[in-house]
Amino acid sequence: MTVPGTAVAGGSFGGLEVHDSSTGTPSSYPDPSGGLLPFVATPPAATVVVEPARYAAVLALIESSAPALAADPHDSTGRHDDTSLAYGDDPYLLRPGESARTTFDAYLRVTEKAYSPLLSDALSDLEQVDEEAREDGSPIPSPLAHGNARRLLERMFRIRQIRYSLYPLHDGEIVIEARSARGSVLVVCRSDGGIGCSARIDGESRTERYYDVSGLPNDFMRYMLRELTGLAGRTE
Amino acid sequence: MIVPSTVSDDEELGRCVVSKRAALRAREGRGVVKLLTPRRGDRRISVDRLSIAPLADAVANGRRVAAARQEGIVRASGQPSRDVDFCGWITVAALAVRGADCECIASPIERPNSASNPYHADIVMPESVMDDEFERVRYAQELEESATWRKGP
Repeated sequence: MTVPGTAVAGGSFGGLEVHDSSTGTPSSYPDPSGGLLPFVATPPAATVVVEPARYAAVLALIESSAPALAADPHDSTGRHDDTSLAYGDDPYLLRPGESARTTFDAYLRVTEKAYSPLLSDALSDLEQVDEEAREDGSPIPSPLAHGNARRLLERMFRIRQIRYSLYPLHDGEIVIEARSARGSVLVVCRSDGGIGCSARIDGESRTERYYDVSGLPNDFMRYMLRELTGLAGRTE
Repeated sequence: MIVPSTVSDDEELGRCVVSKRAALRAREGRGVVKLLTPRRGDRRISVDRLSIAPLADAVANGRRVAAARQEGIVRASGQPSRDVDFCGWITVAALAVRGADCECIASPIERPNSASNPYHADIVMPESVMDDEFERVRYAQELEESATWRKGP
């Protein structure tokens, strides 16, 4: 279940467009680094993304925030970066006194919490990468490799909500591994910022390499992740 | 026992896993690529010929590898790691290795003490992987397709 557009006047809110997953209409979300990225996380309608109780809380959050945003004299676009919002004691939402940069952040927080077993396992892998590299006697991956791995993990997770494994390779790289019965997709983040994507699906290998993380995941990576999970070609 | 000097297609080759973390992943079929990827500037993966090595010898060798890893960690950090232990092998058939355009070469280790390993072999990737980690990963990804986890005793 995604957050339906009917909950927000105009279907757009602070740069976040929300919609009913049953329509399959692509939407968009604001990239923290600026610009709009395609929002491809909408799962099949049968997949529960936000638990019903949380879903109601998200709706309440958005509805209660909308007037405040509309009245904000500092930002005519509806963006709202420093307002303190308090949403009770729900541990899945902002606590009283916490600052929400945008409602989008709160939305993501709810969404990611709903996926927490998978995403938190992957993030936990990432936290242990340096320790594992040290024990391997390998170079510690650079902060750039860490940053790229985290950024790509979060974006890949929005494409496919599956278990991603992260681990260091032998020369300061971090691998993000996605796997299914059909094969695997590996994204290698090098310490110098270079990135490679190697997909092996149904016995066929395809590799692409990139010099930086901008624009990733690209069409190739999106397609391979969907192909891996048997959903390539499906309208989302 | 006379150890054959060539690796036959039906032999099972085992890569020692001496990390509990790596073993936990391997058991679930994850992270195997790391175990089958050579370091930069290298194209060999060290393995044991499990089909012909007596189990006791293969296990003893695994424990030696773990002990050597632990020594390295202690030298570097001053304290042992709780993660290091001999846990088992990632195995792959020689036929599958050759099917992935890699070679299997018997490379017995002869030392004057008990560290000899007559059952040692190398999986050798093509020379093109030497300075290209993405190529190394690609070959490892192909190898892992036919790899299985074998728990140590």
